[in-house]
Amino acid sequence: MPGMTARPESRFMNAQIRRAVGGLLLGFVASAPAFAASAKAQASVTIAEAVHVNGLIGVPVTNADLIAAWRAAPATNTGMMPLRLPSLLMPAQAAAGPAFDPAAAATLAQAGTDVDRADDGVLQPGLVAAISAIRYESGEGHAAQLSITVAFN
Amino acid sequence: MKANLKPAVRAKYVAAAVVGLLGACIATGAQAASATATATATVLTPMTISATTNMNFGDLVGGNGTVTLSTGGALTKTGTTPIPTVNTNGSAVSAAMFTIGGTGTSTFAITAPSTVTLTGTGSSSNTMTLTPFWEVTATATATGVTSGTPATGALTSGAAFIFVGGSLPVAANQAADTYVGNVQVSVDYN
Repeated sequence: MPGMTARPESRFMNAQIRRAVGGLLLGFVASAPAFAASAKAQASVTIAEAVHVNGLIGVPVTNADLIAAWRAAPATNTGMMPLRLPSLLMPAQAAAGPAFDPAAAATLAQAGTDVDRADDGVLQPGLVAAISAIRYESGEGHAAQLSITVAFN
Repeated sequence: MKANLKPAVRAKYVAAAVVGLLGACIATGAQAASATATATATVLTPMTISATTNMNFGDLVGGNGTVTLSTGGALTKTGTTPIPTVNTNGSAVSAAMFTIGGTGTSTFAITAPSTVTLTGTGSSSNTMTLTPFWEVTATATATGVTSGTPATGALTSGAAFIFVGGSLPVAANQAADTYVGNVQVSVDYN
């Protein structure tokens, strides 16, 4: 019967469709790595030199400590210049020290001043070139604290 | 067809022709066959990722011990020496943030290095080893975890965020320097 030839054609068409779909699927699988994406974020940290001022970092300091550091003997190449190492002490912590004297600290703040300006507060070359002791009263979102900044060269 | 055929003969021819046409139609109907296969494909938006914020530990000093930067940007330490509160590099302490883009609520795989070497910019011989960890969030706000390396995440409305923190041992005699390295995060559809 001549009409029988239509069925193999139909099967052929179905096979073509199946192959086309399969090809599409294979194409997506093969191209899957194209969906991957990556990005880099930089990680950074600055390690500050702390060798020469260990006595002033992280522990309650006495006025004697500050004055001794302020009057430290000159030396050369003992640190990066300018480098500022701040140490923030809560008043309660500072008061727990053996000889905390807010008035003396204020005096030091006036004498050492800040070192934001290159010509301000930089003493003679030495282990410690400048000290800034500033008291901050509580307010504006922060607790009261004593900020001691030490710069040395 | 001849015009001088007898009516009876003509009727036979006509009948035969009608039967032939009907037969042809029936035969044609029996031959036709068709089927429909549905071809479907879901086209996904290629995943995108961009580093929105870099990771910055700020300033540290020897004696800080192992310093951990949470995904929320908080620093903790194991050492006794306090962490300096002012950064000489001028950048705020922060965890890294990556912004992810993709299709709908698809899930995706995350790969990141188990460790990252930070190299001194002053001297390449100065190195530190960062161990990253991260969390995946639906919004651009970290919850602030200090551990965990989830291997998968899920998009919400085509977006997700990865916050990367890390732990960084600071040796007691760690050389003063500014250390930098890259944390590469990759994502791909599951």
